[in-house]
Amino acid sequence: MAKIDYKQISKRVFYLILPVIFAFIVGAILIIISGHNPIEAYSAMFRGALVGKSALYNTLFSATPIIVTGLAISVAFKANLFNMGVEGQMYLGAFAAAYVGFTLKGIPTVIHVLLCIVAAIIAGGLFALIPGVLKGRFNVNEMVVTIMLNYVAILLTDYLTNFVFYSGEGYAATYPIEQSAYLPRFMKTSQLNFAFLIAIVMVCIVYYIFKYTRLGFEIKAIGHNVSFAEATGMNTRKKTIIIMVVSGMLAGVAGAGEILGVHHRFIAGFSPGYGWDGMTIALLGKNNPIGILIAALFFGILKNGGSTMELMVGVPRSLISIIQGLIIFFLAVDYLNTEFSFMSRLKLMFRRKVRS
Amino acid sequence: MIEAILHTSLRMATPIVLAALGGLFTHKANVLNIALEGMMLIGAFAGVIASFATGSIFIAIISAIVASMLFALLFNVFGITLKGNFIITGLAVNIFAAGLTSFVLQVAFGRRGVFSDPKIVGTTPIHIEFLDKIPFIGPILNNHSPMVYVSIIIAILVYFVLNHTKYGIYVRAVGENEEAAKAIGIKVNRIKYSTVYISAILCALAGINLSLGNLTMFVENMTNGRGFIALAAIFCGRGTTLGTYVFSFLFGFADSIQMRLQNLNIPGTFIQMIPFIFIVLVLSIVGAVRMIGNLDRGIKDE
Repeated sequence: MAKIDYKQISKRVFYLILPVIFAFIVGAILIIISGHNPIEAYSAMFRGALVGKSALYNTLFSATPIIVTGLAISVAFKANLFNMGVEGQMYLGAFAAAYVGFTLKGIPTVIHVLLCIVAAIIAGGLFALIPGVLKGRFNVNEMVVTIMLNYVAILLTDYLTNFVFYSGEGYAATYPIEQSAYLPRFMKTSQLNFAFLIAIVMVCIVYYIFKYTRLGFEIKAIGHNVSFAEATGMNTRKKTIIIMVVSGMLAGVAGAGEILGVHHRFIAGFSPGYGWDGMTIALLGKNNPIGILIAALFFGILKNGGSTMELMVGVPRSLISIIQGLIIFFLAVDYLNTEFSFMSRLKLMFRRKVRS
Repeated sequence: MIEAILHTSLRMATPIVLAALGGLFTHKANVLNIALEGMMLIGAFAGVIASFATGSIFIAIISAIVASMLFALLFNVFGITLKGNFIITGLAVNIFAAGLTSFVLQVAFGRRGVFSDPKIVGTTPIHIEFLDKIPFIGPILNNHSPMVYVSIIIAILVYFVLNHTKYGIYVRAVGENEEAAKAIGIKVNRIKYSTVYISAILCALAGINLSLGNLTMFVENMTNGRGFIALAAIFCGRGTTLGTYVFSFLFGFADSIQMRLQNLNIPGTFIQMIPFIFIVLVLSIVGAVRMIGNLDRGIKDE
């Protein structure tokens, strides 16, 4: 076993925290411009997210769906495939879970829940098969396809809830699922439910896949260098399809968790962009399942605390998405793997400016 | 009937055309510009705000361009100078633009989601006399907002610049072989920077067309994927100016069919899927055609 290089690790952690700090600083400037006190706003945010049992539970609850979407995206990202369709795959997964939830009746709870989740996995996987095949067979840019398919999935489920399975209750939702398909909650005052445990199980599964399986190795190989992987005899076309489908399956699980644990029925447009949040989280967690878990918990704090901040201090919640965008900016730059470090690159830039 | 559909197609296609022509420059310089969406959105937003504040459409256009250029600068610094991943940087621009517009809307104007006000001045449709005399083509081309005509002129300009100027050759050289371009003394980064700025200007015009052309209001996320549709148009058109224009128009056509079908008694959401499914189909067909006769069996890097 290799010796652990603490200096290297601390450097790596520092470069991961740096973007977050930058983003918060820019956020603070925006808060000042809008006429509020940034310290007050941020402390309201963290207090709202962390102080008290139910606040803590709600933070975990906010983190639940994005843990899984983060994992879904990381599987594809790691292979250098940009699956931007996690949002859509999640919608279809959620709908499939709801469908199984309200059509099957009189089944024991555990089996019903499992069936719902399996349905979601199948739906998400099948939907991801389309961009997978297009990329694998015809080398069509997967990013544009998956983004277009997002709209298709959202509109399709919208149609199904509004016309085919409309519950007639004034808002666009299907019939409620059977009680036997509910994921139980941990406590009455918080919506935190067993979906969180499912998310943790998914973290373990993805960790196992990455670390110990052939597929995990192949994902890494394709991500590093497709041509080399191809040259060593790997069927990268087939693997591309498989990776895409696995990513879609995970997205389906995220959808199922939301339906079975929170809404108990499919609601049109239920996701405020969990698929997109998953992308930030996959980046922040550096495609490492444990990192993703931590990143998702951090985002849970931002999300849950964001509403407290809006209520208490009056700073709009959209600040959170600004911070999110900024974090991605700073994360896009790979500070460690570029030939120069970030700082020396900056110095070089300034020196050039001075000279010219 | 057909004339009306084509008239609407041209109207719906215009923001896509403008964004796609902008994206074409970056595409030629081998910079994947996902940020089209965000630059369009911020252009639309800045245009509306400036129009609201000053009542001048000219100032609105200038502000849209400036705002869009600032976002292009972000893209350039993080994507090109600091060598970040273009896809990730571009998405950051999009998320940042979406967040910032709704933040400013709420902080400065106390609105959520939609910003409309009688004080906002939009562009007025242009009526061209001599087009009335031409049958069929006349009614299609006439009575559009000015950006529609601007987009046609820009398409011709882009064709000319890319194919018949030194700058165009430089851009293509950078896109085809960066090392070689560097070796003959082309300032690669400067060319890349400039292509992103050009796409920002065109995206700003596209945004203006969205928010001040047909409507005079800003709606959160009003670009609704048009930036990505523009990218699809570039891919489908194989990076040629004419191809890009034709596919942008086709996507506008799909949009206008969708709008027309909604008047019939078919559920709206079902119909709205048409343009998106159409794009996926076209992309697959173009991809399949490209594969035929291609002996390369691997997945090549983009």
